[in-house]
Amino acid sequence: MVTGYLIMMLYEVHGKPGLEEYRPIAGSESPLRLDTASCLPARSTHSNCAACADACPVSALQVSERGPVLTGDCLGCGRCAAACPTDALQVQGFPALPLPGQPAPSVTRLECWRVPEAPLRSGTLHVPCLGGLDASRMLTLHRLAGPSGITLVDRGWCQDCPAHGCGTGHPADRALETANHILGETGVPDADLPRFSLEPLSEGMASRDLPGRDLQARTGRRDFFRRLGGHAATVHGAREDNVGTDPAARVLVGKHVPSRRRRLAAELVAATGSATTPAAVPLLSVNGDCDGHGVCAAVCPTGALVRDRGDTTSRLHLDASACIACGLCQAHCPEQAIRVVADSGGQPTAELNRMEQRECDDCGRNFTARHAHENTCHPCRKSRRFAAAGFAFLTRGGPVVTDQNHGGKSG
Amino acid sequence: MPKWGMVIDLDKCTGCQACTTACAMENNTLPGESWQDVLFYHEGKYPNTSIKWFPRPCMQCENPSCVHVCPTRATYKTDDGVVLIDWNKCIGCKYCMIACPYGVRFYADERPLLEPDIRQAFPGSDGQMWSPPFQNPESDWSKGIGIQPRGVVSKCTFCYHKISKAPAGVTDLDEDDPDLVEYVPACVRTCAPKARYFGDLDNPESKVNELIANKRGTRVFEHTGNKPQVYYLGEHGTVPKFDPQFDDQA
Repeated sequence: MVTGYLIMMLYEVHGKPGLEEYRPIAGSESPLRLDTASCLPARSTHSNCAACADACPVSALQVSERGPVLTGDCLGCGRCAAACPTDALQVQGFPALPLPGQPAPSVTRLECWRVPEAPLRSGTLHVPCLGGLDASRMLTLHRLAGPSGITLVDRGWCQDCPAHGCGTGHPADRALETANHILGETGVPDADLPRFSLEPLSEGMASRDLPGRDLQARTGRRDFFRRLGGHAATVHGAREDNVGTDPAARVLVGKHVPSRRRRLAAELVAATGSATTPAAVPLLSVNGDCDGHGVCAAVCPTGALVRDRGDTTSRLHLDASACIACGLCQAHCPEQAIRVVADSGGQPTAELNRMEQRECDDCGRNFTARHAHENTCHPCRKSRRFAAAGFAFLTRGGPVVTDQNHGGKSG
Repeated sequence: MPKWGMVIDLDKCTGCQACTTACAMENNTLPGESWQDVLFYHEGKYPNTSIKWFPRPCMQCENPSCVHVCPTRATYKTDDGVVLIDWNKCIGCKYCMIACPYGVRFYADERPLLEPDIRQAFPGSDGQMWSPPFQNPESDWSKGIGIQPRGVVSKCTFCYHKISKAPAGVTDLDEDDPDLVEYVPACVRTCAPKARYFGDLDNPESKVNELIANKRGTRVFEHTGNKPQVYYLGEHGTVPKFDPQFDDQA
């Protein structure tokens, strides 16, 4: 049967190869896997990302400082993984869709696992939940479907499915909307865009025998308290340290572009020849308060932001094809000078600002100057201020000359 | 659990930089990157000038701004009151250096402060930024002890590899006590005029608390609310008045 062939061809067995290192979330049997080094709240205290927890239809996820923690029964629908901006989560059961250039079977219809095999037509891809696919995978499915476009089949069960949650709209709405926005910009006619098709089947036909899933969401009192208990455990969790001297332990230094972003770029190159379109590129802006410290570039998880320091100029450069609009730069800027304005509408590559580099009068190192009169770097100014405070202390708070030309650090 | 603190008597300090040298030897810091430094400051115009010096270790603040801003939780406060950096987690963003009011954090990846660059003479191996032939065998990246890797911020640890081994219940780490001399931070141990004292600020019986009380120990930049655990003594000292002009962060 064609469907069986497709599944055999597309299914991954042991997680996704690549830079990410996925491990099962501790203490759970769920098909959910996590790459802690990619998770934004695990990378940074200033991240308030809770995309997975917000997306979970049964509120089984909570975000801790070590990343998401399972506090309830996971359905394995994959909506958390679809919502995660950095691909830190992965749900087993979803097919590894081929990138452009890889052997591509034809897929024209997407159905969920609850639909039994009998009514499936040829060219159907069976996934745990339609809401578990992100926009980049929608683009891949659109390419696989050929000119007629991909159809997401709703058997009329989605509305009442536990994986639907309490929100309005279909679980796949958001990914579909984003994908269609990007596709529309690349010139795909409206009629060929990915779309839903309502083909109701009797509720009785819904399969209850899903691979390792219990679709009965439990929201009883006991479960409620179990979630609270899990939360308390994460708050009081003991600090684990990487003890010793091991360069390989320094995972947080690594920057990599999430696979969904790489896929999106590959799909756009295959379709249009360019890795970006305005719809796929976030818009960032920097105002005049920027001090050129470059904290934004250092915390950028994908390496999209780069503070390029030359001898005379320092430029903040954005490679938009790697930007995922995660907002870490905005959360960390000491001057609150950078802002993610919108998650689309930006330029493919952009020089966000340019500042002057000067040699510090005191230490001789190059520093980024904001004002014309600045002739010492930030650390040297701090040292001078500290020494001046000491001077004032030893001279009973006597007169202190604030003229920049007086005083100085030596020795 | 003690709360380690330091007292520096500015009336005794001669500005000899022995502490700076001892610190560099103990911690294998790059030449010029002095976790402990003595700053010299002069004011006035000839002939009416005066010069003062001011030793500066990390203040090991009770309320450290560096810890509050660190994105990766790499810098942290230990139970015994020392601020350390976990080099396994540090990404070198330097946010802590911006936040620290005292300027006691260092990023040594840039152009060397002293030429020639000693990193070229002793290129780093095993992930170290540089590997000098004589190294302190104490190394623990999770506490920022030893020779750092590239791309991290480093700072004074109060010689944590020494003080953390001190016997429990000790009030002061006095270099004159033969039983304790091995646990005394390098700068305190080496100070020739004995201008430095090191002890438990939580213990009312400790020598450091006695000095702070009797000689009006003062902390620098009290207005920041950082509450340093390093106190300065000076007979003619007063609490410096807060001058907003000095606080230009620009």
